[in-house]
Amino acid sequence: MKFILHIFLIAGLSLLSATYLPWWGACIIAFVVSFVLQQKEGTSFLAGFIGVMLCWGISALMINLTNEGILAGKMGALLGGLSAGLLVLVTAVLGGLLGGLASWSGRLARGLVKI
Amino acid sequence: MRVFKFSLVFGILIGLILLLNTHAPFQSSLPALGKVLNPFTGFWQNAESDAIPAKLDIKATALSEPAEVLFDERLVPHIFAGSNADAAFIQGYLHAMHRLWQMDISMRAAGGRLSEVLGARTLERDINQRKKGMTYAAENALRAWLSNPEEAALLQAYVAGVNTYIEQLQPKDYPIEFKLLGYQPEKWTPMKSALFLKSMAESLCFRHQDLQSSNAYALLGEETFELLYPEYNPKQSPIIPETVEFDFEAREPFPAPIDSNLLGLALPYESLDLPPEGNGSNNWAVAPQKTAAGHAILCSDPHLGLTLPSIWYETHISTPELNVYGVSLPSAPGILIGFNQYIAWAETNVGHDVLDWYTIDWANSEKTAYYYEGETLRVDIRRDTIRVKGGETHIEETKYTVWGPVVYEDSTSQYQDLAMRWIAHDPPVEKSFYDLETFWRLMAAKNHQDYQQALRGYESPAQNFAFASTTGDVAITVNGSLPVKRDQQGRFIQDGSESENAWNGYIPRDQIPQVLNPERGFISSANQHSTDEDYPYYYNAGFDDYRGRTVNGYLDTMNNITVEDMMRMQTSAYSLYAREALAACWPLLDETRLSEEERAALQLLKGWDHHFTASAHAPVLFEIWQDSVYRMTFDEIFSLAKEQAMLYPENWRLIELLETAPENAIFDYQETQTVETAADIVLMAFQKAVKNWSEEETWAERNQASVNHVAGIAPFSRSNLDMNGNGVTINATRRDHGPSWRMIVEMDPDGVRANGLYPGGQSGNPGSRYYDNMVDDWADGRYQELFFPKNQQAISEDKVLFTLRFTK
Repeated sequence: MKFILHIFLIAGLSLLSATYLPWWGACIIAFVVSFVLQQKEGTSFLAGFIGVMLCWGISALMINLTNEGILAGKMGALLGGLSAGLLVLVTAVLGGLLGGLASWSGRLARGLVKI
Repeated sequence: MRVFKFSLVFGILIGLILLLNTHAPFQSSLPALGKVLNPFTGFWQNAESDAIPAKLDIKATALSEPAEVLFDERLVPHIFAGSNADAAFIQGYLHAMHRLWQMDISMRAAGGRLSEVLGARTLERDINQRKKGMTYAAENALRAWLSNPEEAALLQAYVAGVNTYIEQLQPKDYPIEFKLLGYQPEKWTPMKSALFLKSMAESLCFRHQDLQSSNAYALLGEETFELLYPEYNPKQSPIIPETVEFDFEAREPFPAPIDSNLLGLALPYESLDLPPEGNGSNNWAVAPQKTAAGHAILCSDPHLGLTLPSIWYETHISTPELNVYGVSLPSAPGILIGFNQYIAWAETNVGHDVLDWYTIDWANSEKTAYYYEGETLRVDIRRDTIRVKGGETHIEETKYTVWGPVVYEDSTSQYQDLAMRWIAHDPPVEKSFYDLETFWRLMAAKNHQDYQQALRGYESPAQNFAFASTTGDVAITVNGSLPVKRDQQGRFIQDGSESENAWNGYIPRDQIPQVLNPERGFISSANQHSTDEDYPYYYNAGFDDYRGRTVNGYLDTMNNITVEDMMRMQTSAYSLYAREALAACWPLLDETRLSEEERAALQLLKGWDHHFTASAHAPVLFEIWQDSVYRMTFDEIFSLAKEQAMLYPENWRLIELLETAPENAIFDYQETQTVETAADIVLMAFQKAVKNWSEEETWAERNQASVNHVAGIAPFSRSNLDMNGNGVTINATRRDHGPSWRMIVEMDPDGVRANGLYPGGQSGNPGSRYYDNMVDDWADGRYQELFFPKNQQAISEDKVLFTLRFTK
């Protein structure tokens, strides 16, 4: 249950703060949330990965649907022949990777300080 | 251990973010992937769900009163503003909203500022632009505009409009190309608009062949030169009908200086890049007596490089002073080609040579002083600073002489270089208004007199301004500053130490070629000669005249003309050149010497209707064959051209030589031991063509008509369009050149109606449905009805996509 909460906190806060933070803002969110929640390292990584992946992936997916794939198709072709759908996936996984690493870092940082 | 583990994971995270934040990491061509791919500021933000902008209410203190812009379903803005200056402000805002990156990159390309954002790979191009004096030219134009309060007000309002849009932009809103190339928009200035308009002059009146002609004369000798390069095609059908008489006292050119003939001197310089030959255009207007409905019809299709975003942006402007529809150029206020309730107008380019080259004889080895009229003059040195992204700033020094900038500098020669005299550099002659206002006056013109008055402000690049009105007038004016030259002057490189080699001013305004309501019932132009040979001024230009002859040939015979007839004509793929070339070749081709395969191919050509139809195979064979005939006939020139710039004969002259001088030595093919005549060349070329020809290839496949993205980004381009036509048909599509706008306007006094479209879309955003939505109709020769309401009340709600409201 805490795991689900962990994921949704990261995903939701990343989404809400996106307009105010730089493009890597989700990393800050994942770091802080995992710092606070103190889950296991592996769980933290996974929660960060899934959380930011959902945030980036669903955002890209929604945009792609309303745009009918016009731009993602072109960008995919530009980035080595990816389809629009695949580019949504690449975006999601890239976000996931960043989120996972940030989340894990946050957990590890917690271990360094005594609160 | 814990510290180590944290440092490792955290280090990888920071490293990854930095890597994804870097443009072109490890010298790759990749953009900063994190910036570009993330859904909140990256390219996803450019993927529009619809064309409706987030900001519909705009605060604009610069406006004299509130204004509204209604966008119709073709995303064409209908601007309802309280004054012309307010409309110019809104135009600036809209151009920026839809075409900001295009404006930025075009300005950089024109003024030599690409390296600032693209790095050292564009430095040489930038240096050339500076040496050519583009900024010098723009400064001169700008000074003139700012000297006239009305033009200054329009321009400043326009610039304020662009900047109002730019100022409210967040990085996530930047056009996608900024994101991909890794730079930011910067403020617009009047100078940037001036640079853009000078880049139009560059595409339209920069063509010159002085070096090529001098070399051809020197290396081929006078006799061969005269044989290959006559200046006037006797079959020519000029813009001003031959019935027009020129009874005036012409201004005299300067007499030729004695002892300063440079003919016979070949020069080792490399030619500058010239604008492509395809930059021509068509326009014509038929008088009421030739039309079915009894209203004049005006047609326009300017041929330019075809790009996405398109060079044009459709706009309707309504102010208390005018109500006008047409196409504008993002970067400049106004409508360039269009119509209002009373008149319609359209331009094509004038071929007249307005760029000449002069030798500069240096008086010292530092090349800072030169001889002129027996005196020693010092050059003015202009220092241009070119910033280079990721490299050292480059300072380019250009020397200015009485003629203009020294563009060719040969470091191996101490004595002589070449200076350029180009009309686009000149500060306009002082008058009450200049070229920007010319267009605002045309936009408001009510009759032929207003049109004539408006044209007075316009100098260069000279244009054939076609005109039609609801009162049934049709007219055309070869308008602009046309230098007064003696015969052959400016055709070759001239001695720059003699003042008499200068142009003696310009043809007086009341003597420039023009005609109103000619008896034949139509006016037209397609970049051919302005007049017949009776006109008392020297005209030098090389431009194929087949389109001009085709247009005049059609219009001469047509009657009861409808708008549909004009559409068919404007998209006609019929080639007069093909008909005449084949007619010249048939008598020369000895069919008994052909193999069976060759004879089969011949049958295909014989049955051909001379149309460059997309799906046809015959035009492919024709092109390969004629190209071979040309190359084998003029093989001497092609081999000389390997060493220096050479002039190539015009196509019509080859046909004439095939017909009138088939035994001439020019037809001897140098590669063989034997002596060839025209008959041998035609046969050899045909055999070669059949060998090289693939039967399956269609004309569309060979022509590869395409509309490429401005920066050449392939997925943002449209290529291999299924198009009819080639370079010399009325539908003049050659690769990425062609009709950049098609417009047909019916001048009905009860309501002017128009059809038109351009190969692109109103939005410059590749992530918009409106990016290329007109390309398919354009390629297929279909038209779209232009919505031209009388006023705002005449626009029903279902026509409106969205409304922008400008408040003070």
